[in-house]
Amino acid sequence: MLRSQEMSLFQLIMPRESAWAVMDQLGYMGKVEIIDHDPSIPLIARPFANYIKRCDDLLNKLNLLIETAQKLTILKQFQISNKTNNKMCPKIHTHQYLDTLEDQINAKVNSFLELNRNHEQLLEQQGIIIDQLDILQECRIYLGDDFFVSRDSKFDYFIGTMKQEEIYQFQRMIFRVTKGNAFVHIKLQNQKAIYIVMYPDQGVILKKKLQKVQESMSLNRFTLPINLKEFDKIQNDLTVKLKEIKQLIELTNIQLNSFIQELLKQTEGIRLIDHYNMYISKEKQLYIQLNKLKMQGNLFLGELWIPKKDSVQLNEVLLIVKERNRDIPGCQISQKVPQTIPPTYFLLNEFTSVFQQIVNTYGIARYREINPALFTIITFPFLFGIMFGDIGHGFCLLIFGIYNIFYKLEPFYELRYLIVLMGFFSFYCGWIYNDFVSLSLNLFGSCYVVDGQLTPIKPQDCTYPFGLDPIWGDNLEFDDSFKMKLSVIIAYFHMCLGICLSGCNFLNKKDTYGFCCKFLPQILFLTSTIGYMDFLIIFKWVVQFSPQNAPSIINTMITMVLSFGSVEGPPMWNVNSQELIQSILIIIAVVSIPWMWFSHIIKGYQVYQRRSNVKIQNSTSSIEGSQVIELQLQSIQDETQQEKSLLQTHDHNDLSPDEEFTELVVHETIETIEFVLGVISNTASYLRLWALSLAHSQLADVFYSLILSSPMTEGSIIGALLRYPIWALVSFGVLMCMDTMECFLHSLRLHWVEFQNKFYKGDGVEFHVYSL
Amino acid sequence: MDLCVFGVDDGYAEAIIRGLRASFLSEAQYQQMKNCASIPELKSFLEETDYQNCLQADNPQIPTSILRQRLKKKLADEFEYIEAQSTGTLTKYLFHLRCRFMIDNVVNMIEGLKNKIDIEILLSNIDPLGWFPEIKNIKVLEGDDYSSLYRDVLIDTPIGVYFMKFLEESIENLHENRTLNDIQNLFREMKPEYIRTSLKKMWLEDFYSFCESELMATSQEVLLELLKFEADFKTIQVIYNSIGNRDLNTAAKIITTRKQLCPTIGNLYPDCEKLYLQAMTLDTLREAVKGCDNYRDLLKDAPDPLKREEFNVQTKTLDDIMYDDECRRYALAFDGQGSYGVFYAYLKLKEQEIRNIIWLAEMISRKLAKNHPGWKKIIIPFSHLGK
Repeated sequence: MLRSQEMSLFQLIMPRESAWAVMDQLGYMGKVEIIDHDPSIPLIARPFANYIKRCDDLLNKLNLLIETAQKLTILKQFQISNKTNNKMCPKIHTHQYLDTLEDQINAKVNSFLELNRNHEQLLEQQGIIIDQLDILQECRIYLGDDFFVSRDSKFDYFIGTMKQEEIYQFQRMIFRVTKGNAFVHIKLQNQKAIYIVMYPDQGVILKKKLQKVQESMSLNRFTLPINLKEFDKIQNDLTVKLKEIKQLIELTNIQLNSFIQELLKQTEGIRLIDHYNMYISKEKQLYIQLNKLKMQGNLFLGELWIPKKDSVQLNEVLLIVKERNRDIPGCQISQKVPQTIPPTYFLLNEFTSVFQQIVNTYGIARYREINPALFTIITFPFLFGIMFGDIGHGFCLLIFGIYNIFYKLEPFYELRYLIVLMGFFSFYCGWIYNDFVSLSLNLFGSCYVVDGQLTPIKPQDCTYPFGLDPIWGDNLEFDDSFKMKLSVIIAYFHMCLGICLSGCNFLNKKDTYGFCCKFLPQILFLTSTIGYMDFLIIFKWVVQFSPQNAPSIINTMITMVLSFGSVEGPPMWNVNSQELIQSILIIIAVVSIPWMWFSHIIKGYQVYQRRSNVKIQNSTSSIEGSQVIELQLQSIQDETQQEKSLLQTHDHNDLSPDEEFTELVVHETIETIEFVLGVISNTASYLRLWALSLAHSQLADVFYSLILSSPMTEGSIIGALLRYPIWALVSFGVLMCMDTMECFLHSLRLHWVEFQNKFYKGDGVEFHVYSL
Repeated sequence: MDLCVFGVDDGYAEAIIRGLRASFLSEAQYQQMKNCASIPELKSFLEETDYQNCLQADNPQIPTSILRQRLKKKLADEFEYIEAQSTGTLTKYLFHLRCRFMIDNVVNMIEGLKNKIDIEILLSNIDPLGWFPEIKNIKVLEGDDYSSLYRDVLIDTPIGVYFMKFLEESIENLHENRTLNDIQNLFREMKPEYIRTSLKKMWLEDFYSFCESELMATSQEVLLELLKFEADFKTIQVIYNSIGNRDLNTAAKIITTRKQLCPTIGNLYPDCEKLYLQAMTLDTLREAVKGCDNYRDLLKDAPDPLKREEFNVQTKTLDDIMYDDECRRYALAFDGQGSYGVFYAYLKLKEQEIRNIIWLAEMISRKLAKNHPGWKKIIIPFSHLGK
């Protein structure tokens, strides 16, 4: 957790025949990352593109099947279960299984769709017959029996059904075409409209035109029977037909149902359809990984990352593959020296992952760099707690977090441990501040005695056991000064931790030069300025001053910087020794600035000079001297290799030495300025701890005094009961929701900016494990 | 001022359009498309792009006509979504945009029916952008009786207005004592292409006046400029195509036809009208439009219309030149902020993209050699901006 796993690079060479089996096993091992040999190749150009496409097609087909089944309401609330149960797949050790599965699925899907199509056709036929029956009935009612008896009228008719939304359009069209000489009767039925159009029989042109209108708009068209006898006959025929079709529909429904049941049948605890889905998704993943390998003739060449401690397992897995498939040639594996920076891989559990996520959002740690997530686990909730400190609110948050651990509450479930710790620390800080929803608790008995005097008297030997004495409860000035000083002290220690971690990073890289010239001056600078101020704060807390003689810390600091360590006004202790100490600190601070600024520039300059010297020598050297120079060159190259690693932070390896050197100068200058100014501005930034915790307590106070305090002091129970819900809602909305969010964000900022900029590079590459 | 309030009503729609900017194919993607060896390969390439969903259900050996239909359907769906999200003026504006496609559809239907093509095929080939429910009723068209077509069907449709105006104008142009027979003759002889051009001219003029009267200042500035150029292009195209046209044998006839077809807006109208109406060769046309520098440059490279028979796939026709110039303008309009020009430009650029894909698909299906000049004939949207 402190540093990322050490990774080793292996080269994998395997023949085409065993590629599938090897990748299969590697996937189940779930410890390696396959390196894509050329990410710029589009998917189509890769060797297994068609396999992936096949898998996609099959998955789509399965989805289609499920969707149609759901539409038919055969299948309700179906969900493809995720990879919860993956036991069945490892047993299958041939890639031909995909082919068999493909055939199976295709056959199944096709026959299912065929059935479904039949079903739909039948339904459609049923619809037409029902329409026809409806229309016949309607005609009889509307036109009357007489119409069918004697049909010598000068009118012509046509009848049919159409969509309901086209009624008005239809009516308008008929009106226009016949110039108003037609009568349209429309009846709404079963989401359709039945129409009967009567128009004078005036010749062929009109009839043809109307027919075209009818053709373009109606769903179905029918003709009227000539007489009543035929009418009855048709009606009877239709009813019989309808019955038949209904039976057929019933039958296909049963078939469809049994089909789906077959898919849902469980074998070895897995439904067939899930088995399909799982296997195909797995296969797709496998081919995606296989695609990353380079193909040379019949061989696959690939490189993979694996955590060093797991590399033994890798060989075991490959041995297993060999044993299982004796008839095919095995694969070879060999360790390689990595040319690129290995990926960053942390072993995480459900507790640490959320904190790692906080850090990763800022940037993935560089390989083997110290991982701030480990410290974040405590410091993050702690800084949050300082801002959110309140016994009541913190307790609510704590309870909410604990509830979340036991009962899943979806959007917060991932954050559960973070919330618990945040709740705990705000609860704890609440006790320190002695602040319960803006009230001070007097649990242990205040040490001060209020005797009607202006200033309460405090007995010498009495100390309040835990947290602030409740007498300070609503004294804003005291709170103010206490929280401000507290946040400055925390600022120093938090930043100090950051710088020390950068020191550890230097030591880990065995970069003593960096350790001496970066870490040492930085920590000295910080300590001699902010550290000294913190010392003064604590000193002033501990030692008692009479009000007239109390020295001001701000003034002390200002005069110390402006007039070289001299003391103005009352001294902290002895004037002489304080001045001596202060001037020493000033000297340390001033010296450390050029120390951290120029040290790397000087080193870089030496490298630059040596390299340009080599060039000159190289160009002027004669033939006999060439050997010597070559040797020289080699040694220098070795050295420059080291320098390169130093310069690598800037990632400008392709630049010429001139440019590289100017880059270095600019970089170092900026970094130094940033650090020196940062010490001041970052410390100021930590004052947000003070501001937010003050805001929190003041808001709570305001809500309490505005809403709840007046009925409580008056003793009106009804008033209190009525106002309580308002107070609770406002407290929940503003303090528990908004303020939690705000404190979270500020805590996040303090970690990302003020803490991590001291040491964290965050330019690593994440390790993407290949796992089936 | 209108920049401040633009977002109130139209911000969401504009934001969606801006998001869709990412869906345009890049130059590298075009390059990869050119490397595709067959239609299935092209299809699987397109499935990696934004066109993924609209192609998935199809057979790999997709015919170009269906491919075009699918691509257009996607564009139409996007446009419909935006239309549904719009309010007030923007809705009206977007509707105006769709009218252009409706005109195309109606004329295509008329043309198809005249050539006795089955209505189902025609209906399946209509541009989804210009679909409206009444379109299937065009079937009622009997012979060349456009007036009854208008009276029975198109009167309800959004483009009925243009059709009416068109009919009125064509009847007015006949001599004084016209008979019913004259009118019928007139329509019988009328070519669908002529109807299309006239209708589009009217649409353009109408759209122009809509933009002028109803839109806010920033939108006006962008759109009127674009529409002026479009009108000018139309004018030049009409003149250009009528040079040496065999159907128009007398000079007087050419001039009246031109007068009817040329839009009465744009930079060329009315200053250069006299000149261009009488231009009978490419050189005189060049002379006529020289007032605008840009147009002279455009026409400089245009092939001579009198040698029309010699044109082949390699010729960079006037259309190609104009598409190229338009594309540049639309890309600029697309990148402008707070104007309705984005929607117009988006539609135009996407059309160009679809044209490109279809062109490439044609090239691929004909298995033309990779050094064939036709491969260079695509105009990539936004490629002008980098230069």
